[in-house]
Amino acid sequence: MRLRLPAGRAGFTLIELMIALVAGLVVLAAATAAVAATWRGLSGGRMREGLERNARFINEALNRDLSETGVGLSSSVRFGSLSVRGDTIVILSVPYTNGLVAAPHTFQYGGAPLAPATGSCGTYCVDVDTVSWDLVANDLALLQVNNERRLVEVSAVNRSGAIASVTFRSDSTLLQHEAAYARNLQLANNGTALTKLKFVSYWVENGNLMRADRLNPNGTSAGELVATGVDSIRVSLVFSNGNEAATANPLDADGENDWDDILAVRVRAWLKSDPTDLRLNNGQPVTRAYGWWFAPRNLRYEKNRIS
Amino acid sequence: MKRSNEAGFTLISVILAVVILSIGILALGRSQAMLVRAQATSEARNVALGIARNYIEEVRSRTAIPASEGGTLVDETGTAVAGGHYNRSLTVADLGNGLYQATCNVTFPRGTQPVQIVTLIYR
Repeated sequence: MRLRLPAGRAGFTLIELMIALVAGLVVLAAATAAVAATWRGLSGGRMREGLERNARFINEALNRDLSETGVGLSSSVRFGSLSVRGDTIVILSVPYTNGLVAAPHTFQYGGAPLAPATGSCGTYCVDVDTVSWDLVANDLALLQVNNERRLVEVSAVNRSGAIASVTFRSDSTLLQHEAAYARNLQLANNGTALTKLKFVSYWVENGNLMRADRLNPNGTSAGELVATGVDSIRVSLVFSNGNEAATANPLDADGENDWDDILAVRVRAWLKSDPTDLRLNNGQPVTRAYGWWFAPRNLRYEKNRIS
Repeated sequence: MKRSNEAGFTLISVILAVVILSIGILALGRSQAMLVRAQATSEARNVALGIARNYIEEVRSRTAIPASEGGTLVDETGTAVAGGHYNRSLTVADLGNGLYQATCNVTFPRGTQPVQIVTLIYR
């Protein structure tokens, strides 16, 4: 049976329908594009927010650790409580335990003067007092002989009564500092001491920011991942005379730009978005540059005292 | 063949409808463009604020008495470079008794007003 429309209700012609369809499709496509753009904008916002959050976190982490620079440990011309090289920062301080600053353990040796690069209980071993004892294996310690300072990593401790024989690793550099018997250090019967140290170091490895506050038994830093998405970091030192350099220069003729002239540290960081979004920037991570300035309080005090 | 009751729309009503639609679409497009611009400006302002904050820190850590500085072109890390997109300047007012008011202004791309950080320094 064929249906017939009542008179006056002619319906649409094919052309009309097609035009309506095309117009509808165009409107639909435009609406879809607008929604897609909104989503893309949202992803972009999220990505930028992630970058900002990462940057803020790194800034705060560095600020927190750098604020402890030089606590109980003032710098000298050849030894800085803060040292940098390339993308690495090393922060040294004397730790506090139970409200007391770690005290130096004095050398307990009364024999004939020791030859350079020789210890009292073995080549890499010194006998010290055990008052308020705090040193264990893998600790970082400062071996000070009058004005000379070296870092050592304790490898074993042998306590016997009031004397502890502390063995340390032989590396002549440790955490960017002169270590053990570097430059043929000669232990003196008077004026030699061993003090427990605390360190924090930062560096970039495979796009991650690493932080360490412990040493491995082999003398390397036990790094832990702090932040991802770090393209690169460049650290420079700012000295009290206003100069800025990649590192200190204590060996030149002038008394400026030495390790005890550091006023602040400038960190330039290039962070990249993580993870990448295929809809943004052709799927490539977006890199953003940040610049931070840190002036650790203790260094400021040192400088104020000098000037 | 001629069909009756084929009234349709007049040209005027169609044109009117198209005009109204275009106005709507244009307004939407404009608001979208403004949104994108506002986002870019806010990003640049954020960077400028970071530059100003770091520079004030830098000025505070100097031991010398702070002095005014003219505009310096800097990049987003605050490093002085030729052709930097941010312009950093410092104005220092002596308030007497060793107290100085330091104002750091940083202009940024697309920004009408510079970001400004004011601090008091005692020397």
